[in-house]
Amino acid sequence: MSASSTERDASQALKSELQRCFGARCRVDAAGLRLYGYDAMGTEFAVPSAVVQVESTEEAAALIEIVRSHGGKLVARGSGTGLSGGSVPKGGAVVVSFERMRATWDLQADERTLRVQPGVVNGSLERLTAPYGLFYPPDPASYRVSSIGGNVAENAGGPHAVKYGVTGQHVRALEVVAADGCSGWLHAGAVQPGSDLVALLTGSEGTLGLVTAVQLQLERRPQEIATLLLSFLGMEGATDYVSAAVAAGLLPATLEFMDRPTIEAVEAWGAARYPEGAGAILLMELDGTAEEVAEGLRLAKELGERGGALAVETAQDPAAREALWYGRRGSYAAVARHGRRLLTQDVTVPRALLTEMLQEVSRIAARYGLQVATVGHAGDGNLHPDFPYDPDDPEESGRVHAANAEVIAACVRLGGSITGEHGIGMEKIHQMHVMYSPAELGLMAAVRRALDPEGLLNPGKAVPLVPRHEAAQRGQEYAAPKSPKELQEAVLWARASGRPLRVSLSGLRGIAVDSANLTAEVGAGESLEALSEALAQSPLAFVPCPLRAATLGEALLQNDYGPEHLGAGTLRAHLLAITYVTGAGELVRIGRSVMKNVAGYDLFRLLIGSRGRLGIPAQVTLRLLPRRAVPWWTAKGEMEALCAQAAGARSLFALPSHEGVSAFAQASAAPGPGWAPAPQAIKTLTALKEELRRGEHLLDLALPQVALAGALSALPTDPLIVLPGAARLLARLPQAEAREIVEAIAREHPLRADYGLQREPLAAVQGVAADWEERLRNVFDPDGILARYTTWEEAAR
Amino acid sequence: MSIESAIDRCIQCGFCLQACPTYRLFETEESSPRGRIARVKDVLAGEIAPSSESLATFSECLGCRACETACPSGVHYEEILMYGREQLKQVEGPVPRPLGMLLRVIAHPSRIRRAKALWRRLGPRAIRLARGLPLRRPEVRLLAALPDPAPQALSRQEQPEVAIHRGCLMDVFWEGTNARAAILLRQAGLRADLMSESAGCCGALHAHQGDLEEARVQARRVIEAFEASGARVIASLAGGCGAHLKEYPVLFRGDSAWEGRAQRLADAVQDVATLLAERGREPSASTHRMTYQDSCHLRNGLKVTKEPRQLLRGQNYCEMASAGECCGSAGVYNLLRPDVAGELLRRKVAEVREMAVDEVVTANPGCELQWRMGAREAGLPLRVRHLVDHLYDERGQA
Repeated sequence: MSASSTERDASQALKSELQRCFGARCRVDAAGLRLYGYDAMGTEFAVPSAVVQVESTEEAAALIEIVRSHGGKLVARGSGTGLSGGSVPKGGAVVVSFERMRATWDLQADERTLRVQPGVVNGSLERLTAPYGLFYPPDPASYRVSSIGGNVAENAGGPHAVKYGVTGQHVRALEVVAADGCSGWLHAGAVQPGSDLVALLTGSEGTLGLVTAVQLQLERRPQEIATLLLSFLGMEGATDYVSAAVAAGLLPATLEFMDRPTIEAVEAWGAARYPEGAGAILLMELDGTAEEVAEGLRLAKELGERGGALAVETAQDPAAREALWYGRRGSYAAVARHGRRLLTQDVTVPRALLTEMLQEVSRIAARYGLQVATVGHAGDGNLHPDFPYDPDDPEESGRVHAANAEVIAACVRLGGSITGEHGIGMEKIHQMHVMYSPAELGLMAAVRRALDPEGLLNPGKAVPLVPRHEAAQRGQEYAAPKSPKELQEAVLWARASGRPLRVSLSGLRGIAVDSANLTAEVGAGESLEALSEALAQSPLAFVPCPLRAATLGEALLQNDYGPEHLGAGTLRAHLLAITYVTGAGELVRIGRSVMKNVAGYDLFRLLIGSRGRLGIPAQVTLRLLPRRAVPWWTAKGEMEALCAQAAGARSLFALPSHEGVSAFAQASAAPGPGWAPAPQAIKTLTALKEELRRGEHLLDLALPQVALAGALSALPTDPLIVLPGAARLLARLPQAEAREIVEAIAREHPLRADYGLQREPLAAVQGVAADWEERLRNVFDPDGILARYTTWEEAAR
Repeated sequence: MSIESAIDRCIQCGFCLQACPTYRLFETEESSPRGRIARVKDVLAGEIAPSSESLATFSECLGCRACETACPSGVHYEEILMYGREQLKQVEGPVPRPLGMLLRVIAHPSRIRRAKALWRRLGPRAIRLARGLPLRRPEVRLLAALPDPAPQALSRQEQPEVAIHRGCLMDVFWEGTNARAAILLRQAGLRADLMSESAGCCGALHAHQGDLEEARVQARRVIEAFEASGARVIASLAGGCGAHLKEYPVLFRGDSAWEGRAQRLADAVQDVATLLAERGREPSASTHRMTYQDSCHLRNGLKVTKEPRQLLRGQNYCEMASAGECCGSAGVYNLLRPDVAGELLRRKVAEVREMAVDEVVTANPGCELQWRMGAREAGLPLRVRHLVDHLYDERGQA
């Protein structure tokens, strides 16, 4: 029997088995299969060998088993609205469709969480969450049709990302079916005892596991929303306005731009009318309290007048607002009217370089004699130059693709990312090397191989399976390396010599603030106090204020966070890139100084909470926010009542004592009756931190809010501090008692527990998370160099 | 333009998916507009042979054209649907009874006239008879839901500027509504009259069954009658007819003798609601708590959404969240696919029950009939009227 006929038989056997198990929900007819061969990228097509519509996690796990045992491949698909060919079943893979998994449950209004199945359409959440005064901010242009599963796979962005962040910031937990068929929940940030596996899985484009349920983090609906349309003679006027707005500390909820060709296309579609003579427009939304919006509007209009805006219009009613948005969201497909096909780009550059990048795009288009229409998210430097063309004209197609390659090269040259929100998919897999080094790509490939050894999931997409890049040097000993390179030398030296690694991060210094980009490059050994001091004179702030960590490196490896997480999230929402050295000695910089980047795996947030077992950070790129002078308030009373009153606050912590609970909240107005101004709040917190840093007999517990009351009543003593919301508490008690309490809670809730300065967590990671953690440690630290590495605390003290 | 270039507009963005009632119901790409377009593409490219199975999705399609409204690329789905239905007809042959019979009757103005006379006499009895039968067959259920004939006297109008398209089923079962539309238009200051009976049916139902040849025969007749009327506007009371009249140029593409005439007629089409709203008619003074069901073709084909609401707006009007979604009538779809149509209707009726309204107003006879059937079978005391009848009854003499 020939090889190809053996293959045919195997494929036939797979189809029969799938039909037997899934009945009518498995399709194998030629006509039906072809309808699952495309996504919204449009130019890639492949016929799947079967399409299976699963209805539960168990079915997804069963499907993986069947496909694996027959040597098949598997591609996950939601609504098929991806723009990078991510769900195209390359090589005749089986498509697992989540179209029938559209259930939602467990809406927790207090915790602002909701669980959904992956097939749930993003836009359908609106009706569900609005009655609770909540909303789900990530809103890719396709939000009316795209699924949450797809959004998670691509780490989708959208206009609201400028203020609220992308999908990844709104995922609390994921249920995953791994390539080996095992399934379980992974928890993000706060309650995960190990590395941030949720960050790793989000944006992994279906290559690491099948996501079968998502716990979303919702936001409180703002009191007021104002939508402004600003028109300018040309693109420069618009980008200058954006720079001025950023410099003035304006933090819009959205800040979108459209150029002249796009404006014409949207008007031709009839979705919106824009002011006559507009060469560029900005669509800006301001939200917040009535006062904040009024102040923002005043500032926005004033900047418009000063910046030479042709017109500044405010949408007066929801219908007018919707009309403005409708045009923006459909602009991509509307531009398709300019040609038979559209090549749509998705590059990101540091905010301040947006004008330069736009000029570069115009020059490239002119050089190749092409039409280009550009829309984008001006607020976070993410632009979509669209090139209309005729795919049947080889000469024109050739010019478009050459221009496209130059656009990609240009964004990398400017320090940007080759994809901000559309993903790598099939489209850019051959361009990953333009952005990432062989070492960085090798590490990503190694992670992929470790979690999916048989190459079952979404072959040929997202992350190229290049060989690992072995660092050959023998290294050199450094006690306190002063640069990433020296840190790498030190690790290599330890590897080569077999001697324990003993380095201090204290030499890794430097704080460089880029106020136009709202970012800072900071050495991992810098203290958090030094960072605050460096920013004291600027209008910007690094929001997280960790409780126990002294340095930035420590804070991220311990996933330490403070009371501000209530409004601003934990550390993961404030990091953009990390330069680090793995236990294998690779020096990598994952992430970029841009707000949006979905190229490859998120191997930098993965480090958050990893306790130094995966890599040692050398330099960190932080996301800064305009400084807001928001007052503190305090009140005494019952924990539950105080927390409920302060649920909408930016920051919140409580100090229980025998006299009752004192709560401190940071909010623009008093959270309720009985709250008094508390200018001493920061001082109180700083004093407490001194004590916490010593770590003596300290239980540090992070658990879901629902478990907080139980944990508090289980404690034999009053905790030192409670951070409600996520929820975290720190208490002083003997280790044996701490362990008992932790074990009791862990039986019912996921939690993270640390004791003192011990390296290993008190509550062990379990299930899929433990398995993945183990596999990742083998990838990042194959020789156990980091396992024996003297802890960062010890090195620092 | 050709079928190929209509398809080529689609860039597969998928924005149509959630707008499509059958996709939402069946949750499979094959039941979506994007999937249907891909299917026609595959058939044209010779990848997939046209067959009852491969083209079944075109009989499943409601033809509501909500996908066109959602489409930012400007895909003219109606044209692709017509092509798909035509291909389907070629593999499936003539339309079976009772629909086939109906199509033959309405294909001739003289037969419509006879049916009208018959209905005036026997209508009430036929309805009563149907109401006594077990409600199993869709045609019996629809018959039982028909309104009693309510004829309306109407004087002749010399040199009309607005010619009202009578339609086929409309002229038989809603004869009085047509006349009342003329009265309302005259009150609004327009010289309006019914078009000659010789115009007959617009051919929409034939086109939707894939019989484009017969559809052209009907269209030529309507064009001739409209030209003979000397009117500048052809007014429609049925979203389905109005939208189809707009499509006449597509039917005659490349036919030098008719394409221009078809275009002139298409340019003259107006819905009666638009004409009334433009003339500043006062909104309904009804004391009923009412809501409005869009006619899909009026909404997605003629893009008329504001005007009917403007005419109903008032303290007793409340908007149905799913007003723009198909109720399942979709021409004669409820005869052909009572399962799908019934499910869509069931959801609608449940929504209206929640809203606790007394009346549903529609702008198309098919929707009216579907809603009457839904209310009747659900035991819901719901009044269902055509917008014209509503306006006439509430403020007709004012």
